[in-house]
Formats: sequence, structure tokens, C-alpha cells
Amino acid sequence: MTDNFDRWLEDELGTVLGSVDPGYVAPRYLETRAPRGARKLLRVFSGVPALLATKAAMASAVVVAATGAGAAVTVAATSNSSSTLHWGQMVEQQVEKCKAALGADQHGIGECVSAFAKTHGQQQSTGSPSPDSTGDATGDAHGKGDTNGKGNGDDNSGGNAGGASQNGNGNGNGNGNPHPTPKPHPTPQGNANGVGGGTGGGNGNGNGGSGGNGNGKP
Amino acid sequence: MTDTTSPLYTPGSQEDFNRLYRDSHARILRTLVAVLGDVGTAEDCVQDAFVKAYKAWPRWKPEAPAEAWLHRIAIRVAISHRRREKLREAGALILRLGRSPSEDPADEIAGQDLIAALRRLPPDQAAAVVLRHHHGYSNREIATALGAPESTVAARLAAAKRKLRDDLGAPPPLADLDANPISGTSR
Repeated sequence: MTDNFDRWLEDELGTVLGSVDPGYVAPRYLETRAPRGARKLLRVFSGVPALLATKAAMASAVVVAATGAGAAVTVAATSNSSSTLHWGQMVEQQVEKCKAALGADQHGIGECVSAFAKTHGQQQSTGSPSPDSTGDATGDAHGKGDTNGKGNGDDNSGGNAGGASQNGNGNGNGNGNPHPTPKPHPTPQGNANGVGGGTGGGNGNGNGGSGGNGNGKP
Repeated sequence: MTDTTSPLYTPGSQEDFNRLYRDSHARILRTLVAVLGDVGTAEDCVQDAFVKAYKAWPRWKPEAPAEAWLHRIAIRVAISHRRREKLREAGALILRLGRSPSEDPADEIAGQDLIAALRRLPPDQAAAVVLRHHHGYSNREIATALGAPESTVAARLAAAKRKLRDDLGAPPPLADLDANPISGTSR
């Protein structure tokens, strides 16, 4: 009985399903996925914008730490320009030049880079910074900036400074207190990894880089 | 399907996957027609299954027959489709009142009784019946295709055939079958 049914079933399935003739149907899988090689290439290039942003932020952070409040304004203005990347490269080149110019027993390239940044800042000073870049910060600002422009600085003077931002929309929180003595960071080194947001202001009114925003008052 | 006749494929090879598609597309489509009862829906699910298989193709292990592996993916897609379909059925029933279930003549299949009976089975049982009695898979190959132990496959086949027999009635006498030899199977 079982064999009888099995044979009947096979016969029926052959008749029924045999009538299903799809012909050639264009495979959909070819449309849904790029070849592996192309995907790898895309993956490599997808990291480029982030990489460039990071480099620009690093370069800006170095200059901000080195040049004080005036330079911070310069960077803020420059960061908002379309030549951010170009400026970053210029700073990097300048840092390399300053390093090369140092003697074997000499340390510190802060002044060298600062001079370059100030010169450039004066050229840019006719342009006004973005409205968000008028934050206050006090004291020795070791702000931690990231590529999103959010930064927090802290030190014994209680200043918080916004980090430099590529697009000038950073966040900074200023909590100024009436500490009389500013402590600007003397060198641009050591804060290259996205660190070094704002700079100290002499009387609690500093610049928090682009996007710095605070309310510190002496 | 037998292992000795299985073509060799290299995992991740675009050319081999294209060949696998050409070789197995129609067979997998027929399996899903039996499970889903509708050519258009089955074709849609087959294409989905090939997309999934294509993504997993670099990780395919040649120990398992490629077509059984594809069947496994396709049957999962079909089961998912039937689950979603059941959720929609309540609402669709109201819209379908007074109309036949399929109004597209291209989707009409001969032998609707058998297809309808298969469709009333759980999808894995319907698939097991087609894999065994249409494609000629062994229990081991069906187990690969369904992702279930062989003993489970045997139980599902027995249960499926019992339900089909009850649903469709007794087959014609053996003498009639001898007078009309089996034809059309793809074994």
C-alpha cells in the first residue's frame, strides 16, 4: 500500500511540478551586492573623510595649545573656512620645519610654531569668527577635543574650553572663577591626539576654540 | 540527487555560483512551488534564497551538497514567508471574499489538489515529500536540506504521507499505475 502510494505520489509530483518551467530568470543576487574586490575598495575609501577630519583636528589642536587666545580665534576662523585641510597641512609642515631647525640639545618648538600661527592669524584676522566661537575659558586649558568639536578642559583655575572644530559647531562649557593668573600651555606638543581644546584667558575670558561656550567671569 | 553526480564547486567562486544557479534554480523553484502553492511567490522566495546564498557562498563547506545547502536556505525563506503570510491572512480574507485565491492565470498550476494538500502540510513536511519523491534525495540529504536529524526526517516523511493520503484519498489501484508508468520525475 505504501509503495503504491509512493509511486502514485511520485507520478503526480512529476506531472504537477514538471509543468513548472521557469525558463531563464535573471538572478537577483547579481544586483544586490558588489563584487568583493569593489567592496574592499569602498571600505578603504570610506575611512578617508574621517581620517582627514582627524588630521585637521589634530593640527588645529596643536596650534591652539601653542599660540594662546589670539591664535585660537585664528584657528576658529580658519577651521570654518574651506581651507581647513590646507591650513592643517601648513601647520604640520611648519612643525616639521621647526623640529628640523632645533639643535640637538634644544627642546621646544612652541615659539617657532606660534610665530607662524600668529602671522597667519593676522592675515585672517579681518574675517570674523563664527558666532559660536566666542566662548570663555580660563586658566591652563588642557581641553580634550575630538573631531566633533566637543571638548572639556579642566585645571586648577576651573576653565573649560571647547575644542577646535572642523565645522565650528563644538560644545564647550566654561566655568570660570576669579583666578587671577592664566597659565597658557607653553608648547604645542603632547596634545596631538585630539587633545588641547581651548587656551587660557588672563582674566577668565578666554577663547574656547570654535564652539567654545562658557560663562566664566573673574 | 546523488553525491556521485554532484558537480564540484569552489566556495566563493563567482563563476561556480552562476553555474550552481543555472543547475539548481528550476529544481529549487519546484520545491518551493510545492511548499508555497504559487509560482510567483515561489520564484520571489527562490530569488531571495539565492541572494542569501550568494552572500554566504564564500563560507559554504563542500562537505554538504551545494544543492541541499541551497534547499535549506530556500526552505527557510519559504517558511518565513508562510509565517508572514499567515499574519496577513486574516486581513486578506476579507478582501478576497467572492474571489478565487489566485487570479493570475500565469500562476495556475495543474494538479491543484495535490499542491493544495501539500500547502496544508507544515512547510518542512511538504519540502521533505518533494525532496524525496520528486528530487530523489536520500534521508541524509533531506536532513542537510532541512537542518534536522535523519530520524526526524523519517518521521516527518511518514507523517506527511499519512496526512496526504487522508487528504487526497486512496491512490488508484496498482494495476492502473502499471498501465501508466511513472514519467516526469527528475530523478
